[in-house]
Amino acid sequence: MARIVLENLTKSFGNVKAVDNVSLEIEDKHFVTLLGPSGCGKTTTLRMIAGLEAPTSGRIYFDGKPVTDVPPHRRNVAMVFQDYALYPHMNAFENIAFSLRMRKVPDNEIREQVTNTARLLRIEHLLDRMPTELSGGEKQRVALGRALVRKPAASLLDEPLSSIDAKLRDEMRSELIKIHERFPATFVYVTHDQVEAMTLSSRIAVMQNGRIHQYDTPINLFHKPVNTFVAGFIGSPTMNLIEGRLSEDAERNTVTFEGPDFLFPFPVRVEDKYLTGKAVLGIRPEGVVVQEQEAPGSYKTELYTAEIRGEFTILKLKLRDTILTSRIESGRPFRKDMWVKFAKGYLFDASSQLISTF
Amino acid sequence: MSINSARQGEVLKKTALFLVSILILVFTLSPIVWMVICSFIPDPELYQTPPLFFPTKLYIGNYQFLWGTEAVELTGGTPGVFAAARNMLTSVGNSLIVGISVTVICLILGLFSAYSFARVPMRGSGKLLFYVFFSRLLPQVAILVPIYVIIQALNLLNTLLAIILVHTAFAIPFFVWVLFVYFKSIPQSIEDAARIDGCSRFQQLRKITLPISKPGLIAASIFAFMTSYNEFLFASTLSNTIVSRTAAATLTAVAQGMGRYSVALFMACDVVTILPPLALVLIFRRQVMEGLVTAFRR
Amino acid sequence: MSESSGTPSENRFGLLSILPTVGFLTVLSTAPLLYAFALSFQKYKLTSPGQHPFIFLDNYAKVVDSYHFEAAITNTLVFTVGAVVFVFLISLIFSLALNEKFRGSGWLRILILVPWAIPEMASALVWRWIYDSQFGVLNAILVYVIPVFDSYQSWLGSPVYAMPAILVPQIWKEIPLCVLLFLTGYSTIPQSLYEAAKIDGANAFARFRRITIPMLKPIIQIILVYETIMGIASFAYVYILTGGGPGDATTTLSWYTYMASFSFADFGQGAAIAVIMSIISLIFIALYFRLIPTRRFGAVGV
Repeated sequence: MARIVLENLTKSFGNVKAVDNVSLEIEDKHFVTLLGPSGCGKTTTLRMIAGLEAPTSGRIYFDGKPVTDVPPHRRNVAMVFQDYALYPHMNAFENIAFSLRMRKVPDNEIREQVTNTARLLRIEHLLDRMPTELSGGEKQRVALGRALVRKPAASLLDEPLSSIDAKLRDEMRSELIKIHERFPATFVYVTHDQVEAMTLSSRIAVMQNGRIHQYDTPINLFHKPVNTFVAGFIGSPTMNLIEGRLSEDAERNTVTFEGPDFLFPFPVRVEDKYLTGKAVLGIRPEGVVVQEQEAPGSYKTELYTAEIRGEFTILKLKLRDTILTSRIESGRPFRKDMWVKFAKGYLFDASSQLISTF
Repeated sequence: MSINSARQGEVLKKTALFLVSILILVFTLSPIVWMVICSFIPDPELYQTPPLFFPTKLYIGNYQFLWGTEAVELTGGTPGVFAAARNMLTSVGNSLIVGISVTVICLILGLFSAYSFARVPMRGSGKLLFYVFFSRLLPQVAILVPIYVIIQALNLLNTLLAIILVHTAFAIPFFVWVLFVYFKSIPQSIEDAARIDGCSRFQQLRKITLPISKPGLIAASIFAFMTSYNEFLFASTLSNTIVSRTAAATLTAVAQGMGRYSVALFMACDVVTILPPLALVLIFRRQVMEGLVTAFRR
Repeated sequence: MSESSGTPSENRFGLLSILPTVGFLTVLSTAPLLYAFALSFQKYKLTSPGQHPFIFLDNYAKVVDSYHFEAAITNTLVFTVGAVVFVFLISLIFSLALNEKFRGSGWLRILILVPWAIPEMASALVWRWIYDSQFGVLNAILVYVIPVFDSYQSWLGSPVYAMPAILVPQIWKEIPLCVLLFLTGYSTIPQSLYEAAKIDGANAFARFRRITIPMLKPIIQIILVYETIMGIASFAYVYILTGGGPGDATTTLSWYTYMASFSFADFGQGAAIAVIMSIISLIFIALYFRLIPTRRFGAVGV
């Protein structure tokens, strides 16, 4: 079990900085996810933690001890790869047992540990099969088994669920949660899927272009995104982000958000220093409230598309030229013309930082 | 209507396939078959018109000559040539020694080179790989003389060592190339997994990479062996005494000294010579075919 | 995915492991080539040992002037073009047949490797016997079995037949590889393309012409260039079957090199021809790497 600290990690490939001055503290036994779009540096960071990549600069500590120069086979980490990376010339048992054999664990102990781990992952019956004889989900479990069997200081998972079909993915997600409960150990997880990140992690580091935008709990990331990138990345469907500007009416002491197609009187005080002009209004689909009829402060919209997604229905509504996404409970009637009100939202300044919420 | 023409098309296709198959069979195998047949015929009986297409009984005297038992009825040729033929088995032995040595040296030198080319990112490694690969493509006749001069200067004429050295130089490029492609095709993640599981680089190579690359290793080794075994120009030029000749060299000597006569004997020599590479290719055909294909695909 | 970046010690090891191979090759392959280059500018006759003055381009002049040279260039051209064309066509036909699954197709696919596996020298001997003008089996077949001629021909001694006669073994030897390459090529073409074409109304011939051939372009290029290089370098069959003759009818560049070096005992001249031959081959190798956009060699990831 380990507390992992990354200090000013940078990794350059030629002129490209894949990871740019990343610092992170991962508490022991936490499930931390590195979340971000392709190319944001999350996998590279993970590989540096594993020791598969040497950082261009910066340091890594496990439990206070520097491990930056320690090769991977001596770091006592385990890794689950996106393509499972099972040894094709060994059966499932040997795949899982391999790391134990490398540590010269006696045979009977190996047998016991491997069988226990396999039982936990419900793959006991597959232990003598070769990787080519296993389905995707089964291979995934064997890969997990290989990582868990030796109780490493940290388990690193590189988009392990991305090659599995959607239904199985949901199952595996729940299993991962259960596994983390049973093996409380430090898990570092990499994914581009924010649903995975939100459901699995105790903390998430949202990354882009080699940097961390925000490192926080899932709830905070959802309710208090620090900038438009995080706000737009977390939450499904994506938050409505409308560009516009702020104008002040000094006499009446009100601030108005001027979008391209509508005006929104901002209900909360905004500090003077932010009234520089450009701003972005962010409203989650849940915050675009559909009203039965016109009411003061609501906007007239035209129905563009409707997607029924089971319990919720996602409506895309056109407010002149702006398209707003709204979420309503399925079953509520909707018509071509509807009125919406903004119930809660965020205001971001010209440099995309959060100014205010309402 | 259309069913009939479809049926006709089917029949046409089947006949065409049949004809082509026969053609392939005949074309590919007839020289070899003829070689074998002639080796089992007593020499004097070969020189008739029309020739004996299928012998009624198998005569093994020609082969017996090769392992030194019988003096066979022969129809011509110089004593030097007969001495050479008598030593055919030794020559094949020499070829095997040379071939195996070449393969071993290729493995020692080439394996790590190929792996480094495939995995270790170094500046200029691309150019070096190109250099290695490119060496094979130039006509060998071109360097016959310089190599002869060099070997002569080193006082290594008529030794197997000289042949081993030269053949290794011929065999290594393709060997490294085949292994390079094989190593590159192993997903990096499997090797990473091994290192995470506790293997140092060497252990990873030994326990994971090499076992997985077995087909590639077999193919590359067979190619190296065959390059050496089949090579005759340098083998016969550099090492021309009866004792030190390779099989190919002996055949060359035989070819030069033989007129049109004693063919049966020399067909026997031929058959004996082709057995090792033929056996190798037929036994390891899958690896050989895969190896050829992957090597040329890039 | 990203490549594993090496630690400095790994990089050092990598370099160390490449160096012996490169060194070995340089000594035994490149150095001789350079030596041949140097030799070509010297007078190195075995008849006058110990005196190797530099005579610059004299050797080249002698070579180009010689009537052998013209013949060599022409013959090499004819030989190579003939070899490439026939190997290509015959391999194509054979591979199309072998691509179908029928009884024995598996066996045939194995057997087709045989010509490639046999040492050139061994097959050359048989071919010589087959072509024999008095007792050869080719003559026997063409006179007794399928009467084409009324009497035995001298294949290897005839100025007309000698060239085709040495082409046949070369073609025979090179077919296995090309068939294999074609077969692999076919397997890389997705079936769905053919199915789409069938729906679009294309018959077998059209499908072949418009899907198979274009999709095989890279393999076709490889075959064409490789066979050209093999054709230029081909030596065994000339050596054993015809010795360049009759006269100069089958003197190819490679034979000319050999002849100059060993028959004329003029290493200098031999080297000059060798250099000319190497340059011609180099041109084709360069063509190879132009025509075929290979991915960069080197440890760059996908």
